[in-house]
Amino acid sequence: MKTVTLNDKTFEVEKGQPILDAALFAGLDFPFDCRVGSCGHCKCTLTDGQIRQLDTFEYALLPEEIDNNVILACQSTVKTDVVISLDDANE
Amino acid sequence: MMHYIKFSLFHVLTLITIAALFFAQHWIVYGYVAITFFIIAGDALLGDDTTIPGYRNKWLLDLQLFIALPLLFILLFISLWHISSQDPLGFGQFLQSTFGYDLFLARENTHTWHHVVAIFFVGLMVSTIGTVTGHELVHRTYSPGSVTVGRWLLAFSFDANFSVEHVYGHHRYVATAEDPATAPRGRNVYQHIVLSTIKGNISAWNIEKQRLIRKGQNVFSHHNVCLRGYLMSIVLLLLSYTIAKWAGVLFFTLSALWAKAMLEIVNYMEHYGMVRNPKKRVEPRHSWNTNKKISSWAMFNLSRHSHHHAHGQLPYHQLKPYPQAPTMISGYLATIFITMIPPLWFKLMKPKLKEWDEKYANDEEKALLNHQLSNSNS
Repeated sequence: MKTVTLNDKTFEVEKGQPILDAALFAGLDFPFDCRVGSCGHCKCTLTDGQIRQLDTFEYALLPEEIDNNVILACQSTVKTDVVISLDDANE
Repeated sequence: MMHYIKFSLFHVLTLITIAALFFAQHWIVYGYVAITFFIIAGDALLGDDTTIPGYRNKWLLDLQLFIALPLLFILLFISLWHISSQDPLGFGQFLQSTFGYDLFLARENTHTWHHVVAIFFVGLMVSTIGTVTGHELVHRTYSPGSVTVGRWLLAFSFDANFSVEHVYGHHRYVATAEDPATAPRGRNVYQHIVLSTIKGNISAWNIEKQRLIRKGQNVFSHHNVCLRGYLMSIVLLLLSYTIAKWAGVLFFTLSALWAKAMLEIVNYMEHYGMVRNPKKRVEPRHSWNTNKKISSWAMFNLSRHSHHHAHGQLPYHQLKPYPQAPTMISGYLATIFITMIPPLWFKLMKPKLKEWDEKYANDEEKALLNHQLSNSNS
C-alpha cells in the first residue's frame, strides 16, 4: 500500500487504483468529471514520487502542462509514495 | 460459477448464428427469427438481474471478451463462403472429404433473399459481438492490447474510431448539445443514425487532430489513430474481396452499415432527451438504464449504463445495476425495434421524459429543457 499526500492530507492508495478513486474513497473533495482522461477536471501537479499513466494525457492536457508535471488523477496509479498539489494545476 | 457462465450466453448466441449461417438456406431465417425472439421474450419474461457478485478469476471474464474476435472472423468467413463462387480455403472440399457433408449443395439451395436476411443477421451479430465487446475493450486504455483487439472488433462496422469519439468525446459531453450521440427530444431515430454517424466521425477526427498537434506530430501520418482505424476496415474489405470478390465487398459493406446503424440506435435510446450543463458532473441520471437479464448477460452489462457513464473506466463485471436510475422502455433489442417506429417511440417515451423532468432533472436542467423547448417553438 502506497500513500498520496495532497496539500496537507495523506491517504492510502491500493495497487492499481487510480489516485482519483483513492482520493474520493478517502472522502476528499477532489475535482473530477468524465473519469476517462478526457475532460481534465482532475488535473493536479505531481511534486514528488513516480506514477504510472493509464492513458496518454494529451487528450486533456497541454504540452506545457505535461512538461510541468501536471497529471490526470483519474489516469494515474502510483509506483511510489507521491505528493500532489491541486492548486497549481487548477489555477 | 453462474455469474461467470451467464456472460457466455453471448457465445452461445454467436455459435447458434455461425451454425445457422453454415447450414444456410432457410436456416438463416430460422436462426435470425429464433435469436431475435429469444432475446426479446427472455427480457420480457425473466425480469431483472440486480446482483453484484464479487469475482476472483478475472481472467475468465477477460477471456470471454477476447474470444469475440476469432468468433467474428469465423462468422464473416462462413457468410462470405456461401456467396462466393469459388471454394475459399478449400473449406467445402475439406468438409466433403472429411465428413461427407455437401456444403456446395447447401450453397446452391441458398437464394438471394436468404442472403439479404443474412445481411441483417450478420449486422445484428456484428453489433453485439463486435461493437459491444469492442466498446468494453477500448475503454481499457491502460491495456494497449485490449484497445487494439477492441478496435479490430469495431472495424467490422467501419467504426474503429469509436475508440476515440466514444471515450474522449461522448463520455465527456454526454447529455449535452456537444455530444453527437445524444439525441435531443423530437429527433427520430433515422435522423439520428445519419447525424450521429457523420458528426461522430468528425468529432473523432478533431479530437485526434488536437492530440497530434499537442504532441507535435503530423496529422496525416501513421501516428493518426483515425487514419489507422479507417485502414483496418479497408483491410477487412480486401479480405472480403479475396473470399467472395465484389459480392463479398457488398455483403460486408451492407452488414457493417447495418451494425453501425444498430450502434447509433443504441446511442439514441441510451440518452434520448436528457440534458446536462457541460460544466457539471455526469451523473447516473444522464443515461437510460435497464437490468433485463438477457440484455445484461448477452451484452457484458452494457445495460448497466448509468453506472458505466458515472464511472467510465470500470470493467463490466464491476458495474452496478442502479435500479433507481432512469429506466429504458424494455430490454435492448425490444427497445431497438420500438425506436424504429417513431410514433410509438415518442408515445412511450412521453411519460418517461415527464418522469425524468420531475424526478431526476435539477433546476438548472429544467431551465435548459425550457430553453430547448422555446427554441424549437420559435
